[in-house]
Amino acid sequence: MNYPNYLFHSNLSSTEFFFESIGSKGIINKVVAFQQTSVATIYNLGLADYDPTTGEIDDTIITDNGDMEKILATIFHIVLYYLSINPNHIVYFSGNSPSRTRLYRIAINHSLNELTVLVDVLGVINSQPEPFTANRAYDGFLIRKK
Amino acid sequence: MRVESKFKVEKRDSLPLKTKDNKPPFSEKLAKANEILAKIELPILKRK
Repeated sequence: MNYPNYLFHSNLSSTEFFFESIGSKGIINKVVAFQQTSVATIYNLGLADYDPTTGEIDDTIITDNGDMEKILATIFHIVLYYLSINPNHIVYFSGNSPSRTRLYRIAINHSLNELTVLVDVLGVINSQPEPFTANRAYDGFLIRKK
Repeated sequence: MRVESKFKVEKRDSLPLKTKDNKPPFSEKLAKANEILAKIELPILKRK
């Protein structure tokens, strides 16, 4: 991925990561959180707008701040960092809608050669994971450290 | 993507995440993930 990314910091337990989206609508605080799923080694990635004064999040809002590529690059960097400190975890993520999941798929595809140096990328379709292939309508994605 | 596998990330104290409707954060997303992952075949996820 050749897009620049935002600087980010984490909470004390390195399960939540925070950055500022800077775009046409101003500065919007974002949080990326990793939560354990029903499968012990798989952690779900959640992305939301965040109010640092209250801790309140909103993961339904579509901000449209004009910096989607930079946000996606930041998420990829956060995932790579998270896996570097939790090498046995597998990260699952999907969009809030099919169109958003499609956007993630396109972003992964653009960066696949660089991502796969460090991680395995799997697409999940009908609850079955497979090596990521471009143009497959996946329900979500799994990323694990090589 | 120029990413070091290990780089320093600043840690800061932060407020617990919460939602307007007092549901656990990302609860719907997590439920959806669990629904998909419940049927997943785990052998393919094992490292070679």
